[in-house]
Amino acid sequence: MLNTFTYNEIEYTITGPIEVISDTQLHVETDKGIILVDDTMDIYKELTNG
Amino acid sequence: MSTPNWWGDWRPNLTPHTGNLQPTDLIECTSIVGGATVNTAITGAQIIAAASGGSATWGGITGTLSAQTDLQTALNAKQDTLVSGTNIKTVNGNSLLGSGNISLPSNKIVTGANVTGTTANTISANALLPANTLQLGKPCMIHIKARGRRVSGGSGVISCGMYRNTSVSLSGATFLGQIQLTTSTTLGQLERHLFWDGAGNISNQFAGTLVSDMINNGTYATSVINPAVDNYFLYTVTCANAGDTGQIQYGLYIIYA
Repeated sequence: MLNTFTYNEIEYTITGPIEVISDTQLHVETDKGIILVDDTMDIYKELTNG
Repeated sequence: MSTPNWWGDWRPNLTPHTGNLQPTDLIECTSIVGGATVNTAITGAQIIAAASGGSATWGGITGTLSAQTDLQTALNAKQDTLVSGTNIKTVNGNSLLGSGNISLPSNKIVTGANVTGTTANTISANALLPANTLQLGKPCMIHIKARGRRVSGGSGVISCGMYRNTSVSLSGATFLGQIQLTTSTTLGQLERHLFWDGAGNISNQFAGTLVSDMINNGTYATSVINPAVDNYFLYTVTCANAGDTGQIQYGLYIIYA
């Protein structure tokens, strides 16, 4: 499973669960806090397809 | 009889003039002394000096200051020299005298827009945390709070959340906390205390669902922040039912340095 991603030049390591909060948004627990990932971010598709 | 070409007496060669007496003017008076005429010359300079009492020089003025009432009144109206803690207050023990800056706690309060017609997590309000508000080497605490409100509808839960990002966008935003308004709940408050360590990290209590403004005890979460750029606290609303309407009635943050 993918465990790292980069957004706005910041690299995040996924450290915990992924929570679906709406049809287009996720909460992803990372080493830099819980990050909102939405369908405008490349990682969104990878996480939802994985 | 012709007009004499002199001003005064006995000096027909002086040029007559109008206006103020000049030092070069000359008057001669004649008197009879012992049957003989005696002429006494008085210059304009002598008359001017006698009338003015001479020119005053600083340090040479005699008399009592208070007798010059207008000057004394003006002096009485002046403020005494400022002495920190005596006739000028201090701020948190800091003297206000001298140059330089004293950082005071920053705070901001915002009101939010209604969120309806969508089930997506949506920004209702945002509060700018200007670049360089947080400074390296100067730890502080940020108290962030939101008051969520169910404006209308009661078909689904309304979640009110708080995030931080470097733009007014939820993409990539750091989650700070959330409260849920049940279908029968109108208002709810959520707050977090974020501790800036002065070195580039910021930590907050782990997100939890709150039913009051009590801080939820849990695991501490750490996120990173770049204090050199603008950051925004984002106050959001998620309506489980798109027909409901929610808002962040108030969002605020206070910095204690």
